[in-house]
Amino acid sequence: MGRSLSDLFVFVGKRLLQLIPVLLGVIVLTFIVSHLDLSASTLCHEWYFHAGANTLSNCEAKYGLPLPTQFWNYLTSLVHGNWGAAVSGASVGAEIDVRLPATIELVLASLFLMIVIGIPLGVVAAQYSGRFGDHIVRVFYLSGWATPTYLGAVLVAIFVGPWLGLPTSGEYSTVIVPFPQYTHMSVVDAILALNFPYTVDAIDHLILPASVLAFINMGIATRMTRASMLEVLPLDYVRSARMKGLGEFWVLYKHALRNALITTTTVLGLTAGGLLAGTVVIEEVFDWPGIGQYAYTVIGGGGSSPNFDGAIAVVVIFAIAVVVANLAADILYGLLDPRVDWR
Amino acid sequence: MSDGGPLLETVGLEKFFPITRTFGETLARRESRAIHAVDGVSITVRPRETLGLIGESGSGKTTFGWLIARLHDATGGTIRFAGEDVTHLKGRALRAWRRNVQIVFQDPVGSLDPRLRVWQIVGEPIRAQEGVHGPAVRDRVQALLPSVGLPPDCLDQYPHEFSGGGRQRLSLARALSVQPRLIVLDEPTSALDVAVQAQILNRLVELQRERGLAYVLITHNVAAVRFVADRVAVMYLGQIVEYAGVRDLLEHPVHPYTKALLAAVPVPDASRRRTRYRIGGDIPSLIDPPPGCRFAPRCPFVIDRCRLEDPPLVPFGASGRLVACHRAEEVRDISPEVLLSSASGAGGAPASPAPAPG
Repeated sequence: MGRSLSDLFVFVGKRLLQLIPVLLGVIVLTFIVSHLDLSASTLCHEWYFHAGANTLSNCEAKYGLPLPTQFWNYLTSLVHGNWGAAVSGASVGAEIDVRLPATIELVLASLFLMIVIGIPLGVVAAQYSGRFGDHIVRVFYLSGWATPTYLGAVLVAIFVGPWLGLPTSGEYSTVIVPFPQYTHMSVVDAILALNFPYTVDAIDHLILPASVLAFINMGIATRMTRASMLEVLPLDYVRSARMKGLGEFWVLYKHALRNALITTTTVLGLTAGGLLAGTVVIEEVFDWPGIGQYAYTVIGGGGSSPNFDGAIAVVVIFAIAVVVANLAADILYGLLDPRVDWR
Repeated sequence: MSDGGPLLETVGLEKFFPITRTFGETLARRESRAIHAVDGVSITVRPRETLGLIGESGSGKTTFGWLIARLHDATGGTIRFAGEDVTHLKGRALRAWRRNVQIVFQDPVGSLDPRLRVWQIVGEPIRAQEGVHGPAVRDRVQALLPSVGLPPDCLDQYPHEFSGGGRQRLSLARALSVQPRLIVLDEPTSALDVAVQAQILNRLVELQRERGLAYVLITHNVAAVRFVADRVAVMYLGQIVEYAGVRDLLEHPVHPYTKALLAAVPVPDASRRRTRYRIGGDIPSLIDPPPGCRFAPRCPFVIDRCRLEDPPLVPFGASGRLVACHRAEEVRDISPEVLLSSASGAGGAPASPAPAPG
């Protein structure tokens, strides 16, 4: 059995090495797709004609090079930790440093909601399988699943937010906050500053976007939990747990759910990466200054000019997020199931 | 505990599983139907005694075992444990009562939580029942393991690291951990190979002697019953058809079904091999069964009365045997072997064997 800590490190190390070819593929593909149909003169004149001469010449200098050279330049700077820059000269890396934590905060918050609401709902659905409770739960998660993100986000921002008295825009109520933002996660920063009113304010701002993201993606957690609970519940060890004299709560949540969670964990890991994609619309609607909103901006959304380096950076980060989320799910899977061998 | 009284007594115990009506049937106000899995079973188990429960698959043995362990709620009848009616115990009282009766399941893989270590599996009942925590639980488990033939140093192993026999020993240790007075053994050896079966059965007999346990042994393994049981009840389609001391029952079966069941046991003797006994006819449905003897459609000795009138389980002979058969007197001395050759014809048609004299 390989289940020691060093086995775990080897396992994680191998998976991280596998990340390299994946990322290389993603970079090549996005680079080709975004640059394929462009010639420097049309691109630069179309978008930067009215900009200063400096910007125009910058643009032509950068996109006038042959495509392989452009790619090589991009790749070498990326390896040195430089995400490139918009044509205007604005650094992509600086934007990502600020925006990625905000998005991670949003995704973690909605994952938290999916876990604490979605999984117990799945247990309830399995417990009352085929009966009223099951149907109610099904209506709830199916309506979430069937809601298009843009519709759900907009409806919540327009109707639910004002009705609940919750803010629907930004991270804080004030633009300038009276404390330094070390982590760029709104709630964490407010807590670090020991500023209680701002902590509450930040949580208030987080509730709606996180709830929408969670509501729309929760179905998968509930559904998987229900299905694997139904597989586990008829097993004898659940019955033995009852025979031991444990209360029904412990029978369900300790013995049955712990075993049923293996599948749910895997699926949640897969979903977590996908949640990032869901943030594009939600961050734009709720004006959340995260990477989803940035993704919308760099492809020219909202009247901004396209930013190729930014677009590639966003795609690469989404790809890393998917792989890392999967890796996290694999590790959790092993921690939950003593039968998994790390080697 | 009432002195000399039975440890466990069931009176007319019933378990019906309702069949879910389709939406159309509900609309049509069709009456809901039920599967009569256990249909009026009365048995007693005395302290330190083993009751064997045999019958084919689907006869309701396991359902009955789960009923007396209170894993199912009875539809009707009563369960008395040490004189106390426990049929309708609920909640905290039920959980506290559970320490009296434990169960060992058939499947040594499915009955152990794969996420827990040995000391947690075996120790959890101790924690739940006695509120003991931490190292004390480990000590208790460690002291218990040798009594089921497991090494005391396997506390931190997981169930998947054990063989089938080892896992069944673990199940047994878990059942023993709260010092129950009755253990329901639900086919405890049927998933194991023969050598391991013998070890487990020996261990069970020793434990019974050491700890004064009572067993309800549910099995279709006649050899195991012969080895372990004191008395035997034969179940057929949710009812007891014959109930007697183990020697009486196995050597002089009276009920035609018991004879058929024993005749179906393979005999390790090539010269005695012959056409296998086939019980012909259709098994009546357990869904709201019709009146009459349930074995009638398959019985080689059937008469018209059997199809109309349910035979009651009544005393037969002097040895305390109970038999549910209208023709018990007539068929008592027909040996299973005779029944074998006589019924080898098509469909088990009645060969009208001559009623034995006396």
